[in-house]
This record gives sequence, structure tokens and C-alpha cells, in this order.
Amino acid sequence: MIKLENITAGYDKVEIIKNINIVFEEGSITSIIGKNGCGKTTLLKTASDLLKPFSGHITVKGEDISSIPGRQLAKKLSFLPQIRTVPNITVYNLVMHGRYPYLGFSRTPQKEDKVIVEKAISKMGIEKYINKNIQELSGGQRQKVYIAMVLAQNTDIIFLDEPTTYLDINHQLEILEIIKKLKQMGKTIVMVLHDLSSALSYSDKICLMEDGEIAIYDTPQAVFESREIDRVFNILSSQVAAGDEGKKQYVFCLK
Amino acid sequence: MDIYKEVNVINQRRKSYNVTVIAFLIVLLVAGVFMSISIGSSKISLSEIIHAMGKGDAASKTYRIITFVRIPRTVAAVLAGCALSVSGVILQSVLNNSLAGPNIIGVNSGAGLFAVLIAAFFPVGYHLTTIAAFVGAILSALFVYFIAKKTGASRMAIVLSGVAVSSFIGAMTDTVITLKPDAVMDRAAFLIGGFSGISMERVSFAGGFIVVAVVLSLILSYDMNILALGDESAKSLGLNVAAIRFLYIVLAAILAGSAISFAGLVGFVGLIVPHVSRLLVGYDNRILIPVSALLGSIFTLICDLLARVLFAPYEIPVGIIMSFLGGPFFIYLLIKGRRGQLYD
Amino acid sequence: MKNNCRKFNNLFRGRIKGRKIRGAAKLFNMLLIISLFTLMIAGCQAKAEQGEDVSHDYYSFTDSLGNTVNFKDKPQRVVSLVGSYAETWILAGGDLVGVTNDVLSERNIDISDDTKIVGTIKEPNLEEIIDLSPDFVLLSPDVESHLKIADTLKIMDITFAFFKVEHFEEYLSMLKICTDITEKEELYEKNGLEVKKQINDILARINEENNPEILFIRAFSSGAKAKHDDNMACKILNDLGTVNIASKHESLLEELSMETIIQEDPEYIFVVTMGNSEKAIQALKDGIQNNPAWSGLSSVKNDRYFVLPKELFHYKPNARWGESYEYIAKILYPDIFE
Repeated sequence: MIKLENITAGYDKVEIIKNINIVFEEGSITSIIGKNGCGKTTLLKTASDLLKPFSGHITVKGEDISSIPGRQLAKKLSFLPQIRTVPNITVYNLVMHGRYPYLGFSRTPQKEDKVIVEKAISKMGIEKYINKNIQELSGGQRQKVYIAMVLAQNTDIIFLDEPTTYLDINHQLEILEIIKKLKQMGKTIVMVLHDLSSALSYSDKICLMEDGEIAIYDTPQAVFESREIDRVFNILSSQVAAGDEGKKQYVFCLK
Repeated sequence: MDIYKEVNVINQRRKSYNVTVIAFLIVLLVAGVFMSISIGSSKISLSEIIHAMGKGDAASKTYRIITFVRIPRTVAAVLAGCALSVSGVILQSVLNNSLAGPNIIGVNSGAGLFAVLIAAFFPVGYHLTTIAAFVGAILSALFVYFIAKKTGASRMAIVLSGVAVSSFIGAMTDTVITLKPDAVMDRAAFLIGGFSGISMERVSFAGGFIVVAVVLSLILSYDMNILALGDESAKSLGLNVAAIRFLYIVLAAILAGSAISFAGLVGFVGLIVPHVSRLLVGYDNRILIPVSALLGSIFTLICDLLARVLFAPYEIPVGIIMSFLGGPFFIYLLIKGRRGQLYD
Repeated sequence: MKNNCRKFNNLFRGRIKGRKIRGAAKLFNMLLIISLFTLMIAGCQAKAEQGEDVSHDYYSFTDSLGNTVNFKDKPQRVVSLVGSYAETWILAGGDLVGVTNDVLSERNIDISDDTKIVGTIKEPNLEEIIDLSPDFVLLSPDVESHLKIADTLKIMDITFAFFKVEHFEEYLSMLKICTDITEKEELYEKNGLEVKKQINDILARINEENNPEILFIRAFSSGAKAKHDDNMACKILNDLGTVNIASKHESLLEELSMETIIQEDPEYIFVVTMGNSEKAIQALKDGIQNNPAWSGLSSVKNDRYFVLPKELFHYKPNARWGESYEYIAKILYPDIFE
């Protein structure tokens, strides 16, 4: 699990997030939500060591994150950015890149690496694309490939920056279901989500951010009942039961 | 898991294709070297060559022409072509910009300035010019990088910094020439570039660096593939992005600086050869680098041969032939090529 | 019906317009003819005036671009935009009010404090030139900026002339013109005809049979250019009975391949280089010795590789042209010229 203590971070000496104290529990799905510019991505990047904080400590399972060498850290946590350059590469080879932290000096994939890659590909259901160039795939399919790469990296902790934005609704829901599966595998997921309904439906914990600080960090139900979402976004939230099983869904409308 | 068998089959096919391409290029290179040594502006038959080289008589004109004129030129052309092409591949990959070439990181202008300074203040110092150009190239590349670092060493920062530094250094060079007009001849010769009058001594100093740098690039080629995923993904996979980008730029600077130090600014080898190579073997740097190295050497060799032979006994600068051949060929490729594969 | 009426009206109006236009045209034509007449008459008068002046000219000649140059009076304020021509003018006994800086940097001529430097030979300063109120300006047709300056001088009615001097004969004819202007015949004798005599004496003593092969190159830091027979130094070498190996292969190009130089293996190699300090010349020689392609040539091995002084073989030697011939003659024929 990851613990952030008194974290202040930002870019070019400008503070974006401050006084962050939060613990992401093992085997949980946490969604970070908030208005644009409140520091969600900054928090995600700081927690995953992509961004060095101005002050504070971050520990991964008790170990100080800054003392873990890059390669080792890559075996413990992985980060999927929102915007990426799309290289000219086949699906199989891209997923294989997820094994990079484990490759030896010769950079040759071993049998074990190939097995893990194959497992990741079948888990994501993208077998039929393995020899296709990812530039030829649709957004949804490409996202699955990237997640397969993250899977192949085989880390306990996965950070996802807006994994469902710009995808068709069916792909969005597919990705979210896959994320649930990842949790079942024992992984810890921390993601930034734009869609409040998805966030509240699929997460164990919600971290609502406002102006660079955490407004509330609790279970979706608790966050809903606190009406903090209403205050921050200036909307009205309510709960409905949907589908055959009467699953709780959250809906929002303007005040 | 039949699908994976298919993957293996395709990978095998790709591998044998790559090996074939490389083998073919090696054969072409050997042929090119052979032609370069046996053909020149003075007509010497093959049997004469073998005879003279076998005897090793330093007084023989044939021996001297082969040993002191043709062999150094051949080696120089091969090394320069190889170095500039690999430098181009590295920069295009690391800066994610297929229009990048060694000039972007300021090596050209730095080498030019130092070469002109030597010419202006220590006239006619052959060996000094090589070292000076080399040092100038490396220094200006480092200068470009450190300026870019101030703004985060992102790809855009490096390109912009390169443009700024190049024009500044260019202005300094022009000032030197204005104050010391005698240096103009050197500047003109340097700008066009060429291999005439090259001695093995000049080549071996820079050549050592080139060989080492190419080997290093080959070793690091896989990591370059990771860098192509984007800074954040690469970092997340455990790559020290800032350090490795710096290392690659230094390598590219050493390669380009070495070549420029004895060859001057020889055409746009560093720009077009990587593109043609990509059309042949794709984007995997592990194959792209050796293929570019070979292709660059062959291209430069052929251009130098033509430069020596077309208007014998006079020579025209290699850079002119390169542009004449390379330009239209590149246009042809652009028009005919499979567009999807050319652009990122 | 209405349409037809409209058409008819338009036609009618057009006709009236046409009449108006024709009238205006007539008037315009008359004015044109009158003004042409006036111009013609004025031109004739001007020509007549010019014609009258011809007989009062001080001196006139044709310059190297074929222009006729006329002096109404003897020029007193002369500006030379080429160092070599400044020297020739001084040798002709003239004074200068303005020169370019190569007079000092290349020729080391002592100029009086009254003489102004008006810029470099490549970029002379037009303002400074005009500021001196010159009545004669010497120019070179090979310099772009001189051609442009000539246009302005013409508008300002300042007399100028283009001179092209590559070989001795051209220097001689330029000196003649200059001494005619300065009215100092004796200097033409001293700085022209005597030099000619000196040269002819040297050439007479040469035995035409032995024609050594030579190469003349202009060296710079990273290379060398072989010069052809139209070059000043090459002509001197030619006159002295040598064969330039570069002239065996006619071309516009100058970069002679090293292979050819080794094959031809000329008896002598003459070099002119840009540096003129002892250090530069020594560095050149060292470079040659260290380059195996060059050091194996018989001319280098037998110490027949000569670096020639710039003043005699790169810049025009003018009155010292005879010295240039003598310099080479002593090298080529040490028995005849001790």
C-alpha cells in the first residue's frame, strides 16, 4: 500500500497540491475526482514517483519511495498516462515492452516473459490483434492493449490517468469491468476519473479534491452522503437502484 | 495457443528478412569498398594494383595512390556515412522528430566555428582543424543540452535551444570571417564538405570515437524503443528518461562531431538515410541502427566515387553529388512510399 | 418592347460617349506630339553643346568595360577603390585623397595623413567617397559593389574608370593611361618600360628546350586549389618555359585530384598561401611533410616545393613585376641566374 505524508508538489516551483495525507489500501480501487485543474493528475504522478514532491514523504509498503531504484520501483508500481505518443509497433511487441523492468542486459525476452505477455493478452481479450500495428486500432482497442502492457508489467500497484476518457460507452464499461478483475487479482488501483457515476459505482474509496487539497476521502456512499460532491461541483446528486439486481447507481443534475 | 505460434512464425519471418537485408547491405558495402579502391581519376588496372600492393614498394606511384589517396578516402567515406546516419537515427528517435538531424543539436555550427577560428588564427594547421572541429561540435551540443535542461530538457526545448544556439554561433563565425577574410576559403570548403586530401592520420583520431559510439548505440538500441513510448510510460517502466536522453544526445554529438571534423558538412546523410532505412526495416532501433549505418556508408562511398570520377582529374565536392542523388530519390520515395509507415 | 427601347438608348449614349472620347483623344495626341518635338529639340541642343565640349577635353580613353572616360580637366582629387590601382596611380606620380584599407594591410604603402581610408575593397563606403568630392575614381569590374557604386557616380557626374589587371601587359597599359593623365612620361619609362625590359632580358636568357612540369596551387588550411594559365603567377611560370600540369586538363574546376598530382609528379610545386607569417609557412611545410600523399612526391623529396611570397605572386606586383620573373627564374635556372 502507498502512504503519502504532508505532500506538497507542483511544477516549476508552483504548488499545485498541498497538505496531502492519504493512504491507498492494498487491494482497493481508489478514484480521484474533482474539478479541472484541482490537481488530480498531479497527485497521481506524485504518488507514482513520476513527479518529485517539494516536501513530504511517500512510502510503498513501508519503504521510502525515493530510496527505491527506478528498475525496482517499476516492478512495484506502474503508471498509464492519458495522452501518449502512439509508436509504430505491433500489439504483441507493445505488451512485451511491459516486461522491460525484468529484462536482463541482453534485453532478450525469456520464456517466462513470453508466458506473462500471453496471459496479459488473453486477459484483455485482444488475441486477434496481436500482429496488428497499434496505429491501426481504434481508441478502445488501443486502450486495452496499453492495459495489457501494464498487466504484463505485473506490478502490485497500478496508476491510471483517465483510462476511460474519449472511449465509447461500451468500451468504457468494459475497461471498468477489467479494472474490477484486476482488483480481484489482488492489485491496488488508483485512478483519475472524470465520470462521477463510474467513479462512485466502481470504487472502494473516493478521493475528492478541491483546489489542490483533499476535500474528502471515504467510501462512495459516505462521500455521497456528505454532500461534498454537491458543494464542490455545485450540483445535486442522488441515488437510484438500477438493473435487475437493483445495483446502486448515482445520478447528478444541476441545482 | 495457436495464435502465438503465428506470432512466432511472423517474428521468424521478420528476423530472416532483417538478416537478409543486413547481409545484402554488407555485400554491397564490400563491393563499394572494392570499387572505391580500384577506381579513381587515374586509370590503374586491377592487376597493377594487386602487383603494386603485393610488392609494397613505397616508391611506386600506384602503391602511393592506393595507400595514401584511395584507401584513406574510402575509410573516411565509410566512417563518415556510418556516423552521420546513426547520429540521425538516434536524434530522430530520441527527439521523436523525423526531421531531426545532427544540425538540430548545434554540432554543425559548433564544429564550423572552431574550424574557422583555427583557420583564422593558426593558418594552415591541418591536424589542428580536425581536433578543433571535434571539440567544437561536442561543446556546442552540450551547450544546447544544458540550455534546454533549464526548461526541463523536453524534446521541444532541445530543438528550440538548438536553433537558438546555432544561429548565435553562426553569427560568431560570420564575425570571425568578416574580421579575417582569409578564413573564408576554409569556411566555403567546410560548408560544402568533402574527403579530398584526407590522410589516415586525420581519420583515425575521429574514427576511433565513431566505432566506439556506434557500438554503444547498438547496445542501447532497445532502450531507445522504450523511449518511443513517451516520457511518462518510459519512466514508469523504470527507464531514467533524463539521463538516457542526455546520453543519447552525447552519443549523437560524438558521432556527428567526429564525422564533421574530417569531412565538413557532408549533405543530409543524417536526415534521409534513417528514413530510407525505416522504409526497409521499420522502426525497431535494434535493426534500424545497423541498417542505417550500412546504408549511410554505402551511399557516402558511392557519392564520393562519383565526385572523384565524373570530372576527372578534377573533383567536385561530395555534398553536391549527395544532394543531387539524395534529393530526387527522397522525393520519389515520399511520393511512392507507403505513407502510413513514414509518419508517426 | 421596353427592352428594345433600353438597348437603343444605350447604343445612342455610347455613340455620344464615343464622340467625346474621340475628341479627347485628338487633344491628347496633339499634346504628345508637341512634347516629343520639344524634347527632340532640347536633345539636339544638348548634343550640340556636348559636341562643342569634345574639343576642350583634357584627356579621354576607353576603360576595361569599354566605356569612354572623359576628363575635362586634370583630376586633382583621386580616389582608388583597389589597393593595387592606388599603387599604380602613385607610381604614375599621382596623389590620392582616398584609398581602401588593403593599401595598408596588403601592400604596406606609406600614405600621407591627408589620404582617407574609405572602407574595404569589397565594401567601400559610398558616403565617405562622395564626402571627399573626388573628380576621378578607380574601380574594378570584378567587385560587385564597385559596379553598383559606378551607377551612383554616373548620376553625380563624377568621372570614374574600370581597370582590369591580371597580367603584366595590362599593368603596362594602365600605367600608360595614368602617366598620360598625370603628365609624367618619365615615370612610365621608369615604372613601366624598364620593367618590361627587365622581363624581356630574363626571358631572352632562357633556353626553350628544357620545359619542366610544374604545379601552382593556392593553399589554405584544409585544401588546395590548382590554378590555370589565366592566373597571373601561372602566366609568369608559363613565360619562363614551364608546363602547368593543370593546363593539361582544361576545366572550370580547380580541385585537382591527388591521384593526378602523384601520377604527373611535377618537377616543381609552387604554392601561394594566405598566411604570411613565418609560422604559417612553416606550418604549411610541416603539414606537407606529415602527409604521406604529398611527402612522397619527387618535388617535395628533392626540396623543390616552394612557397612564394604573396606580394609578388598573389597581389599584383606592379612595378615589381620584373622581380617576380627574376624570383622564379632563379629557382628554375640557378645556373643561368645566380
